[in-house]
Amino acid sequence: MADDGVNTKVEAVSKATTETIELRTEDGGVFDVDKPVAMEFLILKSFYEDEGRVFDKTSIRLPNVKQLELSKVIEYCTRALEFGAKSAAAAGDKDAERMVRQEREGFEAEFVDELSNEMLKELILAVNFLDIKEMLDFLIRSVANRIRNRSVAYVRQFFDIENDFTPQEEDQIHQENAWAFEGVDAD
Amino acid sequence: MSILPDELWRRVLELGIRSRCFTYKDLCCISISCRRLRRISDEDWLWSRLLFFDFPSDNRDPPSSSFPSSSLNRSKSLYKSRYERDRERKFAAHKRAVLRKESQIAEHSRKLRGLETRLAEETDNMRATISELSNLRKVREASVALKVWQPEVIRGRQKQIVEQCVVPVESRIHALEMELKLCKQQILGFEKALKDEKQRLNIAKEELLAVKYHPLRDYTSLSAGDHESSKKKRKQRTEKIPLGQDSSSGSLFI
Repeated sequence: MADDGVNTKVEAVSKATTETIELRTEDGGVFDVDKPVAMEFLILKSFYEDEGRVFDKTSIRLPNVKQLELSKVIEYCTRALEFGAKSAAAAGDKDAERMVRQEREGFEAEFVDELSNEMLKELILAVNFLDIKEMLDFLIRSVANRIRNRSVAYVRQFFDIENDFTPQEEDQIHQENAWAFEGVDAD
Repeated sequence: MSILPDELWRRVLELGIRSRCFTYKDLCCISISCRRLRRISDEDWLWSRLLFFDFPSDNRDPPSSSFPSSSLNRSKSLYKSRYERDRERKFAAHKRAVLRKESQIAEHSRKLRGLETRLAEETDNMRATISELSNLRKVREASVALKVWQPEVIRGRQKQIVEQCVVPVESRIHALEMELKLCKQQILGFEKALKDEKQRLNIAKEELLAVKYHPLRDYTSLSAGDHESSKKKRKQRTEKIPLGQDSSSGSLFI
């Protein structure tokens, strides 16, 4: 069934009657997405441009994407476009540019804070599939931030990784990498 | 549940390094986690980028492509040896800094002791001068008093005082008064110098502490240190209790 909350949000943002496209997720979600937002998904863009199709209200099925992820993706891309427009409007005015930048950073921080590790990973896979470069870089940077300066155990748990080394291999690897962890330094 | 493909992992590591988010330590951590990640995070192009960032003095060209090269791990071992060399250097420099500070402190302490000695000498000198001065003043009083009529008993005593004095009274008094003035000046000077030197010593001691600071080591010694200082405080408190007769100051508290 359609996610009415998202639909009304998306439709409210674009007050002018822009074209929309219908996207169906793997788990039965249906989303009406504005054309500018949908064109951020390069997988869709190439679909329309390469094939020379007319942008009509066809329904496209996205096999690798679920409802929750898609709604998050739409939310991010919509705001990203808004920020883009604001930035362009503020061009030349340093203060306004800075304000837009701060606003964007605030939004991005909040957006990623609310994501669990699992959700972050799912989003990355979805965005990778949809081929949204900017959002992918943003998510990847967030992952990097989450695992920096952490223990091995944390990294494993974060990515659901199993330690597939034999005990001897593990010994060897610990020895190989020990130099990085000798804590004498005063950085 | 969800597994990131190799390509995305490479992207995470690449962006992490490029944005200076990851250090060698993070890469090593990731390398230890599992086989696949070890393979990816040990790749040459990643470590040569790190080398370029952290040890740029080698005039290396920044690695341009993000091609995973052969599994030689040349860059990683190169990084390791640079890092270890650097760490040795840092360690030696740190040791030198500590030694320098410690010798500064010894120097200040030596000066302090010298000043304290001279201060004590001058104080003794002053006391002797004051004492001689007071005697001579008595002689002067006596000789003045002899010029007027007095009961014979007193007169006799005064004559004795005057006759016992062998030095020329007035000039000696004058000299002693000048000496006293000088002593006082010297003492003031020493006291000020002492104060300054103490301050310098304290600053040097604080600087030594700062140089020696190590977050992990100090955590354990801090708790021991707290124990020490609280023991000391308790001791002082018990010593202060018998306040009735404080013999050192020579006074009685009522």
